[in-house]
Amino acid sequence: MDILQGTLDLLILRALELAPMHGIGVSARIQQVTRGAFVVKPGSLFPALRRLERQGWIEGEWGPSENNRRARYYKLTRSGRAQLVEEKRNWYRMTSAMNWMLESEG
Amino acid sequence: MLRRLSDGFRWLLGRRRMEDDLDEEIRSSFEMVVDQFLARGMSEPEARRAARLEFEGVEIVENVRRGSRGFAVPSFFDDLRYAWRGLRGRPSFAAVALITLALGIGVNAAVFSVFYAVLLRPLPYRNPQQLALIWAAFRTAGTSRAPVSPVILREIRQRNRSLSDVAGIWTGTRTFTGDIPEQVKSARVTFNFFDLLGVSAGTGRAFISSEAGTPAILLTDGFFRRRFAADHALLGRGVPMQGPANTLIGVLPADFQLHFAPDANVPADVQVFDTFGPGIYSQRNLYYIRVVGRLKNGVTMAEAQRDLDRVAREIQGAYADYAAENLRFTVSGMQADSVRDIQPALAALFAGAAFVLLICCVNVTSLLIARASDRRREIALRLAIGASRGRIFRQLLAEGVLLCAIGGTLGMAVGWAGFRGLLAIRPERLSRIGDAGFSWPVLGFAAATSFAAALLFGFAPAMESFRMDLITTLRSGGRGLLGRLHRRAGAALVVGEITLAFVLVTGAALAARTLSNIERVRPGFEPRSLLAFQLAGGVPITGVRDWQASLAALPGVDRVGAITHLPLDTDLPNWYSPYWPEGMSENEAAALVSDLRCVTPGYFEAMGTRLLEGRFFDAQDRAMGRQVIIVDELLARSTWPGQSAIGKTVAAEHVTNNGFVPVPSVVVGVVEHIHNHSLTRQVRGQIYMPFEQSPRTPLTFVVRTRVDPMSLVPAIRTMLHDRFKNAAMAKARPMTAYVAREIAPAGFTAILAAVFGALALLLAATGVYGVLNYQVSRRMPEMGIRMALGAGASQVLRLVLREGLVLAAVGVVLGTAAALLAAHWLGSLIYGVSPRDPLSYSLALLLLPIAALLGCSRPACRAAAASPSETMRQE
Repeated sequence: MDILQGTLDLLILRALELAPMHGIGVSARIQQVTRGAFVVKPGSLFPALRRLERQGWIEGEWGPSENNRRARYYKLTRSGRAQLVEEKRNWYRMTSAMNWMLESEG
Repeated sequence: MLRRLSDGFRWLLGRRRMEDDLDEEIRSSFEMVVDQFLARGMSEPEARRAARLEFEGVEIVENVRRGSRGFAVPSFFDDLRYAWRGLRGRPSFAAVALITLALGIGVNAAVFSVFYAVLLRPLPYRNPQQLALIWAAFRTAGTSRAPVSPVILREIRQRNRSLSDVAGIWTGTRTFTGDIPEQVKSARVTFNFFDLLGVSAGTGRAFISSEAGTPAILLTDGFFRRRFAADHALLGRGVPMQGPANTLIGVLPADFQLHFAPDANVPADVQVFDTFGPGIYSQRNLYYIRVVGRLKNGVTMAEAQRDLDRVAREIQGAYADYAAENLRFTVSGMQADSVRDIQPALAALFAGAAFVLLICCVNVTSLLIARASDRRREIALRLAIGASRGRIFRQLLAEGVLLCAIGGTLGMAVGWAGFRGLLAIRPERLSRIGDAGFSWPVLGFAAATSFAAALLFGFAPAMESFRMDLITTLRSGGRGLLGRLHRRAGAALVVGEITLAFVLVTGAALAARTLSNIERVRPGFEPRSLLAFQLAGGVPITGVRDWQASLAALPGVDRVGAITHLPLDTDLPNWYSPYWPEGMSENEAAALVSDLRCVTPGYFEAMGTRLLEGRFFDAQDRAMGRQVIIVDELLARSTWPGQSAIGKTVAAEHVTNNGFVPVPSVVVGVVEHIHNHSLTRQVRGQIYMPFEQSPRTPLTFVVRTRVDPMSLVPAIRTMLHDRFKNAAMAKARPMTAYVAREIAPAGFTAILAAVFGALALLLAATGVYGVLNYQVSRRMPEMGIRMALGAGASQVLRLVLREGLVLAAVGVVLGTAAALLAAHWLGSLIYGVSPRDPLSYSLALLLLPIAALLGCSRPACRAAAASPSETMRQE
């Protein structure tokens, strides 16, 4: 399934909400939690991470990976958490609206 | 406000670090993905391949990021590396562009190398631009490029003010005696000849003034090595040669060669030189010396011409007979003069090659523009994230430079191969290309062409990209305005290409027709099964008749004859002179000039020349008999229009004991015109005298055979040595060789023109394909909509084909106009066919639309196969 435009940021922010993670971890987590419905390829993942970092919503820091490689771990900043709340709210508003429309009986 | 400013600073400072971080992050992430695949049990290479697939697209993103990097200005090398990756990423685009470029540059390099070697490379003499030939024109000469008499040579030397020195040359043959006598070409020169050219002897020395007329001789290096094994002990002593004893004073340098136009009758392969004695300067009416002068420093050819005009007037004032002849001179630069006969042909070939290059450039430009248009989304994105226009421009330029560097290198390879090919088929007249080879000027030329092309390729797509409106492009996914612009530019390029191809195809057709016309010319004899060889020295005039009889008795021989100067043999100076028909007034006869030849009985029969009237010479036409001549149809018709020439009396110059003297003779036969000088031109009428009534040497024998002509050579040579100890057999070759040598330039031109024509057609077809294919891919949605609205596949097919054919039609119309304009310059290059030959034009009219049709067929099929749902989804 294609990722809806504008939802990639939300997916990443949400993935990082529980614990800091490196890029590959983020994409693995999204794939795992969505039961493989969403696959985020590096081609879109890294530009998105960079965009979020530039917005100041996430912060990267170097650390060792599980296989002892140097990996860049991202964690949500305070404004990132605020942004996540905001985006979640938007998302629910939209999905409810969509549901009303789809489930209405004529 | 303040916060935003400080944010900006922080961002600027932190940005560089961030870029490096990102690079490293991507690298380590890649390794992590590899680790994951490895953990799933893949082999290392498999895991890497799979990871690369995963990371596909990262590179583009990275490029975008690099392109937008504000400071830390990347080097042009980075741009090249980026361009290289871009080319590797689109191998079919790169291959087509590179092959096209390599062909264009290669063809040009090959043709230019010939052009340079023959036309531009300076002659191997000191300050060759100062060397000038001085040709005489006088009333009875029949040409404006005649040799001069010794008296005229002396007068020029004394009266001119523009030349620092004047020398003369005259060529003939000499025979070296010994176990195997050998005849070679020789030249007699004024003692200052080599000084004037600036050539000094390689061994020994050149002539000095006190040696004029002495038996001192010079040999060429090649001949000295071959015949005398470079035996230096011979220097200062005599070498065995017919004629008075001689002294070998020196050997010319190995690279020495004479460079004269063919009509100067100074062959390039003269092997032995001696000098004119002072005694010749009393000869007033023997015109045989070719004059070379060296301009004084700072004097131009035009000034020298004016000076020589004055000299001619002075000579006319001093000598009544030269005044009556209206003696004049023409000065022409030696370099230009030596190639004047082939210059137009080479210039036309060069122009053809340039056309091919132009078509190649058009194709590549159109490819690049198409590509730039495809990439406009990427470019727009880059502009959006802050890349400057200059930056993007440089990147596009880098792509052009890279294409042309690789294309140029490949082109050099193609050019080198092409040059080898040209060497293999070169006519003798272009022998100078043999020692020029692929030299620095040629490399420079190829580099310059590639560079010019690179600029063009860099700029065209860049200009194209900058026309675009950023927002519109981003929003429309890269279609819109630019598509229309490109469609128009592409169409113009294709039309131009078809126009050029049309000109080249008509040119090729005209060259092919010229070749076939020349091959069909009847030279006035039957060249097949005919052996010709020159006989030098050692055969007394009285022995010729017996010798001819013994030749005729050889097995396999049909008929034998001999002539003083074989048709189409350019080694000997032509013998031509005025003749006076009896009963014609002095004035009427004043301008009558003919070629003169002495022949033995049986000559015309052996040659297969047709008798039109009267009889051939026979055994009764002996020295003491009635003086008779045979004339050719050209002379008969122009001298006695409407009458029979038989029985008319003509005073024609004969060789007698008193030198060259006009002797009244009766015309007994008229033969067809024999092409003495050129297959394509009838130069002048001809008079033939019986050899015994005008014994001139050397004689060239022609042997009509029933077997392979060359197979007789050993037998004839053995017989000759048995009979005449000091006689030599020279230039033994089939008569077809002389004819082939005349045809060769036309064949050379025709082959090259055909190659150019074929290339142009191929390139035009690819050009049409490239442009239409691109347009179709842009218009797939439109096609889809059309089909969704009920248009059939055939309608869509027709739509695209029509577009291609309209382009072809416009190109063909323009091409016809261009070819008709160019026809003006073809005049001297074609033979027996009009420069507006309908057949040649029809061929181009037929072939170009076919090429265009082939070019549009694939895009048309692609469009017709458009599936509405598929294309709609792309939107």
